[in-house]
Amino acid sequence: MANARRTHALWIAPLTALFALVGYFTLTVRVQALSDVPWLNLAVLVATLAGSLWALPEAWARGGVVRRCGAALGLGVSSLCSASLIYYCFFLSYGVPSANAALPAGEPLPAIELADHRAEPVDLAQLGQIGHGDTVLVFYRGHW
Amino acid sequence: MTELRGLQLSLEEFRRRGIEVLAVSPDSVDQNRGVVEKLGLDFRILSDPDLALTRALGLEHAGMGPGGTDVPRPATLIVREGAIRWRHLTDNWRVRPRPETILAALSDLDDRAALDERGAPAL
Repeated sequence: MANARRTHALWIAPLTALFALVGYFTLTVRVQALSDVPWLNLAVLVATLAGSLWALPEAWARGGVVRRCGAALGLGVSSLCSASLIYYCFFLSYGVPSANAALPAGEPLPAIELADHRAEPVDLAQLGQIGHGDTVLVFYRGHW
Repeated sequence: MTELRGLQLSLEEFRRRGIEVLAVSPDSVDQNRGVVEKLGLDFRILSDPDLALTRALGLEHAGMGPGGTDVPRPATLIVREGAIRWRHLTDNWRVRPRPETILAALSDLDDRAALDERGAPAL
C-alpha cells in the first residue's frame, strides 16, 4: 500500500509542482492576498518537494533504471519549480527603477492629451482641478 | 492587471467620495477597450502608446516590455488640483498598492487639507 503511494508520488509531486508554478501566474495572481506573498503556491511547492523526496528511496531500492531516473527527474522538477517561484517573487521582481527618477509629489501634471478606451480625449492637466474632484491615476504595464 | 480588478471591486467607495479612477497603459485604444470589456470595468483606461505621459512623469521602466520595449512601472498617483499629491511606486513590480491603501492616503490628504485651512495648531 505504502509502496503504491510512493510510486504515485513519483509523478504526482512534480506534476503538482508544475501546476503550482504555472498556477501562480494564471490563477492566484488574480487574488491580491495570494499574489503579494505567494504563500499558497509556496506551501504546495514545499509539499511537492517533500513528496518527491519521500518517493525517492523506494524507487532507488526497488526500481530499475527507468524508475530511478523518473524519481530523480521528479525531484529535479519539483526543486526547479520551487526555486523558480522563489527567484521570481523575491529577487527578479525587485528590479524596478529607482523612485528618484519619478516626478515627486507637488509637481503639476503635464498638459498631455490621451485617448480613453472609447477614443475620447482626456486632458491630463485638467485632472483633479477645482470642481473635478480627486483623480487616482493607476499606471500598469499593459494587458500582456 | 490584478490591480484593475481590485479597483473595480472598490469603485463604489471611490465614487462615494467623489474620486475618479483612471488607469493608464501603453496599449492601444482597442486593446484597452478589450480589457475594459473582459474585466467589466466601470472606469476608463487611457492609452499612452508612445509613453508621452509615462515619460513626462518619469515612470518608464526601460526594456521591460514585450520584445524589450519600454513600459510604465507599476505606479499609483493621487492627483488633486492638477498636481501630484501622493504617489506609490512599488519596489517590487508584483506588489501593487491595495485600494484600502489608496483610500487611506486620500483620507490623509483630506485631514491635512482641513488642518491647513484651520491654520497650524499652536504648539
